[in-house]
Amino acid sequence: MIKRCPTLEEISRYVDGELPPEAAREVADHLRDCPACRQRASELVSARRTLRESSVESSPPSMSPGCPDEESLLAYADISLCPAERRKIAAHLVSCARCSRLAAIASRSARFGVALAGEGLENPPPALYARTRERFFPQRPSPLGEIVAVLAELWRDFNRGAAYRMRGPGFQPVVSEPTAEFDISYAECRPLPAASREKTARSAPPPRKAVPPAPRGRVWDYPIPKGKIEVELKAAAPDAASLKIRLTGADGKPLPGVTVDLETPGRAAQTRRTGRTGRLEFRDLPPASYRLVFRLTPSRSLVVVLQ
Amino acid sequence: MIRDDFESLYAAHSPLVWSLIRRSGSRDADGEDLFVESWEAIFAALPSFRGRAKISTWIGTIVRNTCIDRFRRNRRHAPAEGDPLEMLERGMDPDLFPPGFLPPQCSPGEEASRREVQVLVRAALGGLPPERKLIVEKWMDGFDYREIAEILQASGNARADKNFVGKQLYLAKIALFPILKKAGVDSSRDCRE
Repeated sequence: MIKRCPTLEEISRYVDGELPPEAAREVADHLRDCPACRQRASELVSARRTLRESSVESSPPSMSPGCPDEESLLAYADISLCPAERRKIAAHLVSCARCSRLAAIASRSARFGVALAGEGLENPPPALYARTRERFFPQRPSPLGEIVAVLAELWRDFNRGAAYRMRGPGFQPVVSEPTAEFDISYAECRPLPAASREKTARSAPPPRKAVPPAPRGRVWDYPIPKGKIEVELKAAAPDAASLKIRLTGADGKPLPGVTVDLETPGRAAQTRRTGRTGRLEFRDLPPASYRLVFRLTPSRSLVVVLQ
Repeated sequence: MIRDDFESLYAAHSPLVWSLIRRSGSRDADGEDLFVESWEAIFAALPSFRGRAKISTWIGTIVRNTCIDRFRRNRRHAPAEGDPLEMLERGMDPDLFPPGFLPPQCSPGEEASRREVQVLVRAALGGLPPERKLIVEKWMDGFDYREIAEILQASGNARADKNFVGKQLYLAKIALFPILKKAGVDSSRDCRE
């Protein structure tokens, strides 16, 4: 606790939240034990509120042609503008009550958010997720209700990272032919057009050593909500295969930086990340059951089971 | 809106939205309604967001506006007021959310008295030196000392800094305080329900 009472100026700065943390803590400790200073601080808080309420009602906002757009004012508030642009907007704020009000509110919101984050944000109740989601994606009965239900289940699977599966009359699993000891058992696998398959086969690296005639590689593509996963399984030997994966977005461009885990029971998981071309490869895979986990975003992953 | 946008935005920012709403004083069903309403406002405005500002700032502003709109529509939702000094002790802004921005619900007599205070304040501001008046106006808008100093520098005062603003503001408050006292501003003033 401060030995002496703080000056009125110090209390004024404290009430405005402008004292350094150490000094603010001392003043706060003092105010707890000194009724006279606490009374002064309360008066200053009341005065501050009265003044700010006067500000709100005294100048109705009206936009003029020279005003920056609202998002620029937000960017000014959260200090994400370059210095030159900041100076330009600051000069505008000298005389524009409307923009000054908006920028000040944004600035205080940003500070408030930082203070909240410092205290630790609170998660909303889980039930609110479904309620909010229902507002945007209401479940309506339709002739395609079964398909909608299957798609909804798919979506939930994506988000939970659960093993991928499809059900429903409209989605018969396409069972692939066994290739060596591998069989991709997930649904909706389908061979790429012949031209694409040949192209992929040409680009595959040659076997590293003489091996018995190997089965041909296979290529599947799998549509994801905003892109496509292509999986090429190539058996260089009966007991060693390679798995090539290519990820592309909805616009056909490669998806770089996606982490893919290859998990198999009893062995450490292998992790690769797609490069600039959206490709990655796992080599020397012995026969086993595998799970491929595509970490598309921090909150979303897709799991594909290979048996 | 596609589901990806919803999922990723919700996952990243729902704690911020929820915490802001809780801090606005809304609880239980009111808070939950406000939460859903805030997300509706966020997604309604999403197409116009260009990514210049931080998305958390943008979302925070929308949530604040949604809270205030709702409080204005339905006064009974106006939250109970916390102790401003306790909020300060926790580093919070006591008047960012209502009640600071929500005009108190007053009787006609109290409302008239409040208007009178505003007239007095405006008249008193007119008597301050121009630079000090600018400082008080920006402070009344809600800028902090650093931001006010930056605005002063842009207006031509190169020596302006936080300390300068703090000093000038303190002097202005001293000048205005008798008027506020005379108008009945004290720590017990509160005509809110």
